[in-house]
Amino acid sequence: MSDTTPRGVIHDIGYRPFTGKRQTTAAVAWSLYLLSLRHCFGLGRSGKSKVMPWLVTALLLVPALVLAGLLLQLNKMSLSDQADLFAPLANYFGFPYWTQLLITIFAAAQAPVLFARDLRYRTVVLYFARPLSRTAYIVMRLAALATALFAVVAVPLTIWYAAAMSADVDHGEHTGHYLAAIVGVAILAVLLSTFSAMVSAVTTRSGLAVTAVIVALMLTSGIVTSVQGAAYDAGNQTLSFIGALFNPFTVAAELISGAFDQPTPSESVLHPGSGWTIGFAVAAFCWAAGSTYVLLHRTRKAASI
Amino acid sequence: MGVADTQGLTMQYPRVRALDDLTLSVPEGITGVIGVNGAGKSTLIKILLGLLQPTAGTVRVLGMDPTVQGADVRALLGYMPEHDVLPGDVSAADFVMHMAMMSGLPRSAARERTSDVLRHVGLAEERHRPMGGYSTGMKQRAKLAQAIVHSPHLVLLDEPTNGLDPRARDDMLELIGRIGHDFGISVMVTSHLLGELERTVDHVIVINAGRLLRAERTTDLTHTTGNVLIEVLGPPGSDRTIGQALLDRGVQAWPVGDRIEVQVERPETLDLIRDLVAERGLGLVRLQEVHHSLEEVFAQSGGTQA
Repeated sequence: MSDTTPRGVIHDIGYRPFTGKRQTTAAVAWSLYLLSLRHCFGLGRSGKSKVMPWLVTALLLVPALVLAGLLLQLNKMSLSDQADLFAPLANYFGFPYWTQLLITIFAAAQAPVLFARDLRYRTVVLYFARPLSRTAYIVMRLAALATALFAVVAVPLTIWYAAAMSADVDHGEHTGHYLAAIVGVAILAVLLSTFSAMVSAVTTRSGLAVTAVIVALMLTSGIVTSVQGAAYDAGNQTLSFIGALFNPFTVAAELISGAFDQPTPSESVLHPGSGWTIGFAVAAFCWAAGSTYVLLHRTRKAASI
Repeated sequence: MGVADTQGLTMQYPRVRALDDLTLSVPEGITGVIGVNGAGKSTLIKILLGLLQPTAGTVRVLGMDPTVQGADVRALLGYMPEHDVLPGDVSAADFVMHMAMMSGLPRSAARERTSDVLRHVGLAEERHRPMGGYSTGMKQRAKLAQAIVHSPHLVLLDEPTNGLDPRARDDMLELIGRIGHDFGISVMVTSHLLGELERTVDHVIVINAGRLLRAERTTDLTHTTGNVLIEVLGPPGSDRTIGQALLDRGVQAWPVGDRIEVQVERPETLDLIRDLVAERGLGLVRLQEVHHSLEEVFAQSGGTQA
């Protein structure tokens, strides 16, 4: 600038290239994960989109708080040794099983945010023209959805467990059941996120995806429950186990029941032997891997420029 | 070596051969890739981005091989697709910033560059509104902004003027000119319209059915015809007087509107024009070389054009 330039003038300094250090692909992936996780809870999105995730999160806290309150109350009344007469107070995995409608709604409402929008607007094309690989993009999105699902179930479970720890109950039993349930919730989060992501990517319309996920999960859940009910009455174990394969909730319930020698969430959900436990592990893998395969295939295809 | 080079590049799909032994070099500056729809332009872009493995041949972009160093190449490439790709419920400011971060810019740099780049493309007031309500011209600007926000070394623009009205198209072309010449980002821009790019691009590459048809500097293509256009100032009919005087001295001349196009075979002809105009006491307002337009060039060479 020349000396004659008066002070206080705004200069258009024109275009400046970026000369700083660019972040690694891993850092880019991490930032996509964090942003996706925030979007699962409506953070950084419109006010309207915060309603559903936080409503479900709040509703899921209610039963856990009731159970925790019950534990503390029984403790006060020195009735803790009879706690199991009042409620299945140590059956932690019963919690996601009995609240499966809420969890399904959460998965159904949030999966399209991460998987349908980018395909519908074809924004994936812009992601794929950037450093992150196509697989990494999908894995990060899936990880974010699974984390969100895990969090909304694991937080109430942990509150419940914390209440149990402060009460005069069998701490060893509670700890064992709690840890098994946490593993089960993690498995369930993976199964639900991959499945709902796959449905979202196939439908690409948010409204349709929400309905399709809820219908698919609730319908299979209803069918599995009635098949298991009938099998229970008829005393047909094999039929009961085969039925359980067709819904992520029963697959996860049977798997952790068998693997960690846990009570099942319901009488009609039978405790599997080691053979069937392996079968349910394979089923869990098939649910997740099959959904992920369709999701990857579908996203790559829809993104062809 | 240019910013992007291909050697014998072939892309065979199950039923179509999109690229057929294509060898070309995209030099620094602004390069127009011209071809009809289906000529292989988009396939070429996908290969340059490292999203498609070519059946045969080699490719280098910014000195790297996108088939093995895809992520490194894409960090330094910008891409503006032909189709609509913007989410309707997000503002340009949020979206462009997110895309900057997805290209590896730290958050603070991404924020700063987003606001700079949106200003450069001319999206100032609207940038906090959801993009669903944008006009086609504004959407194209937002698409361009996300393609250059991460300070790429080469930006690939796929039919950026598609669907724009003449005014918005001129704005877009001017913007592309600034990106290539003022911002120092090399640009590869595709189009199926030949004439549209000739004022903006430095180089022209023409491909047809996956093969290279021509690759030349724009100035070489639109070389001078050897004719000049003259315009004189004087009483009505002055142009005809001059034209006749030129013809009388054995110089080929013909009227073009109220101007005269003169075939210049020797430099002396220019002196003659000056002297004739001066002798008659007229003003010589224009003495301009006549260039071929790209379209004429390709019409002559039998090239394919849309």
